[in-house]
Amino acid sequence: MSTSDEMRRLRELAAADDPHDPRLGAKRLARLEGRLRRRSLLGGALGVAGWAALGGPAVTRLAAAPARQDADALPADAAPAAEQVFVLPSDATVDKTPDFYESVYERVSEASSDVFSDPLVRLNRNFEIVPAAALEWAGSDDGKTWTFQLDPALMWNDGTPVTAADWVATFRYGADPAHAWDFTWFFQGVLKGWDEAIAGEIPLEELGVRQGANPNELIFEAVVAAPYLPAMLLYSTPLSAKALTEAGPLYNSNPATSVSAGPFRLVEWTNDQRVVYEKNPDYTGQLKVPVNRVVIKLAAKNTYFTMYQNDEIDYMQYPAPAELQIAQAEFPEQIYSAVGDFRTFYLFFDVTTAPFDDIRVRQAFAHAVDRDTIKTQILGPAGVPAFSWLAPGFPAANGEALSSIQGYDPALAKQLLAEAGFPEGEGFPAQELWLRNESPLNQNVANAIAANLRQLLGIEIEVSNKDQKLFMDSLTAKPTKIPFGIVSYGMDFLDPFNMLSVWLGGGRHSWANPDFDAKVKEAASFTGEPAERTTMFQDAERILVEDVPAVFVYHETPVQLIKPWVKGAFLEPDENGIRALHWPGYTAGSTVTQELYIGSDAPSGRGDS
Amino acid sequence: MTSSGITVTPDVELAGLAGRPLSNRRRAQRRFFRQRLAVVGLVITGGLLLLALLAPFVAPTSYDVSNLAVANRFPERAYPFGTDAIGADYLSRIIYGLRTSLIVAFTAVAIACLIGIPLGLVAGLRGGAADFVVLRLVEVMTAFPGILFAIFIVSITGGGVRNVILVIGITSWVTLCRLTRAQLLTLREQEYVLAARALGAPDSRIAVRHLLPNALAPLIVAVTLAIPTAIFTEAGLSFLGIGINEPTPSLGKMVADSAPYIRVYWHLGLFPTAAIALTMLGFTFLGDGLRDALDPRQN
Repeated sequence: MSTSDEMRRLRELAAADDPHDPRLGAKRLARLEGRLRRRSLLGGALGVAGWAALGGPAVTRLAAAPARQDADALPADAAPAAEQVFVLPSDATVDKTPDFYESVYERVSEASSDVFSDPLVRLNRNFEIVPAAALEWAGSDDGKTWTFQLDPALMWNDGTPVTAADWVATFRYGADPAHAWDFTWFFQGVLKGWDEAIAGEIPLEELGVRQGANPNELIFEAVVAAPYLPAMLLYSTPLSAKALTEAGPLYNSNPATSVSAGPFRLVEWTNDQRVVYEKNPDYTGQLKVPVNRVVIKLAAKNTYFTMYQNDEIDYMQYPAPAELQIAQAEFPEQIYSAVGDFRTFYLFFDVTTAPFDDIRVRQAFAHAVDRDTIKTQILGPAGVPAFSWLAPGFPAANGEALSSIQGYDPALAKQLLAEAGFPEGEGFPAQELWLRNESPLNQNVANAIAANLRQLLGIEIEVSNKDQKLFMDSLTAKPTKIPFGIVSYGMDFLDPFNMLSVWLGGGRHSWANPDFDAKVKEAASFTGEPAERTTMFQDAERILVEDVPAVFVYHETPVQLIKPWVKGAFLEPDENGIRALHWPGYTAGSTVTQELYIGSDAPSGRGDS
Repeated sequence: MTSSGITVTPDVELAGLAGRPLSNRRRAQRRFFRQRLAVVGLVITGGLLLLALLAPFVAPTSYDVSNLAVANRFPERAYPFGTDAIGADYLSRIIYGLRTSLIVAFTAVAIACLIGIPLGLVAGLRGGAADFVVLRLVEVMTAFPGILFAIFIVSITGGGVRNVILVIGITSWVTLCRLTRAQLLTLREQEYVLAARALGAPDSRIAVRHLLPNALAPLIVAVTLAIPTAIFTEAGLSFLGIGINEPTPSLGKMVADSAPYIRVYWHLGLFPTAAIALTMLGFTFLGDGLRDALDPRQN
């Protein structure tokens, strides 16, 4: 996205403030200022320029509504409209629905779903939350009630307006025990009435999601102060209340019953073969999408690479190690490293039992892992060394400041182990390193770490790749049954609270630090200055890194292969230096959809068969 | 039997006639060594066993030594079989892998024999209630897919070489048991069994002295084929993550692990596969040769 686009968006945000509610407007501006300041701190020229252009709080108000989707805005090197076809692969065994609120894990296409309505907010390429279906939002002073002002222009293509009733119906459907949605945990402990509703204890009508003063005002009630609620509502692409009642929850898996208020509409759904979207001519939202047709080819995952080599698809993620080698030899310029869900892989210990109850042992392990060699010899473009929890680019990430605490230092590692009573590993009990059904790549990482620890510290370590369920059941058992393992965690929403909450006492690891818990919880519900909140989270993360319940190994940067004719600003480095199809993919939840276009060098007829 | 032997192999019988009659063992030995493939099988199997036994002296490095800096090397002078993804010498891994695989296979099949053959003998000879009980046991075992049963047991007992051996042993006795029983059903009606009974020989003597040697040929084939099958079962368990853990190598696991790399690092797939193929070939040749040599009906 260009600077002027960014500025326009910021102005739109400001313009959308309700002039009759000064409190709301002031909050909105404070948030804008916060964002701009953060950017300045990051050293982004955009931040400084943006702040200057905004001229402080004196914001230019735009009278016109946001520009709507039009086709004549294609760049000069773009293929003609008829050739604007983006072809993606998808796992043929997962083709139940395109809708998040029907099923998260059985959605068609890991790369493109949720395009039939706009979520309340979306992410831009710098992973900042920007307005989508909600033009603005504000929290109450206690941070428990969040009011979203919906874009009144949004229409379903059956002629019904998009209103708060659609979200109310969607959230009730998500909480319906009869539906047994696979993502209910996401709002647990956050939304009012959610836990009780999914347990069937209260009627769905009592859920804390309701219409406000008018059909374009949507209110969420939380049980805690939840400044992160807007970030969570990236996952809020609504189902049509009308279609949900009339055609049932799978209405979007069939072109005859599909209804769209999003940038695309469904034109074909052939199980085991393909799903086709076309640009929705009746879309009235803010995304200006250059691509006219999205073809999702349903195939077995291990055939993606061959399809890619044959120009049958334009994009794929996670090539197998050997496929990546081929790509590196034959078309290195098509390899991109994304950030995905900011996933961090780490060794963890049961800190409540010997020998890992001794911090010196844990520190010795932390200093013995040679992450840089693992990066160059095993990970390549698939990851970057990690010395702390929050990956680069994630809110409150503080990698550089924390990098020395767990840094590679073989001599120190040996010394610490000796101090803990195990010189040269003598007397150290043999360990089994548990893996959670990991990919070949991560098995290699684990084997390399085990070899590292064996050869440097003299500790016998067996590596055992376990079944996922067995692993999770053993991990979360109280007390835990895994003394030593390697696992990963990726974010669910872009707020430090989400990632850090994994380490709260009573969670999935046995480490419990009251100081850490207090800091994270306090920061989580802190509604004051965003920078202050960031500092609070960073203090908490430092405790985590220093107390070494985990040895951070690497932040995953999922490898994407993208054909040279797929173009757009998303392939230029963003503020975090990332060039890739950004999280959460080609969906209405990302502004990348309006950046991606097909160049005139694309072979014609792609996606026809 | 003797008369037909004269027409087919006069030299043997003449030698026998001229001097002391040949013992069964000597005759079997001769028959064995006259088959070229059987000798080849013996040489291969013997060579592999020797390699496995002497692994610590033969292998360039230990199996758990690696150097990440030399990961993914193709075969070269320093690493004749190349290196793997974490920089371990692949030749050493294969020699130690062979050792693991052979230990697992031999011990597991021995356990299977110890369970399966006695049960089959009892069922086949006694019939009646004993047969009924054994057959129901066999049906229960057959009803479970072997690998599922193996997973069930390993998930209770945990992985590791010892448990894998036990699991493969107690899931693969069924074939041997059924084979023994089937052989006995036909053999026990033979006149010589009747003769032995008439002479007052107890069941155990009839089973071991008269029936088992006659049932041996198909059993030997079954046992020889059970060894490569055991190697594969072990590979499957390791592949599912409930078998033998890193850093202990096994041939099956090395093949499974090489799958994602095979398009580039051919050596990771080729060498362990060749080792398994060689093992299998050796045992098959040996088994065929033994069958032909030991079968008392061939003379």
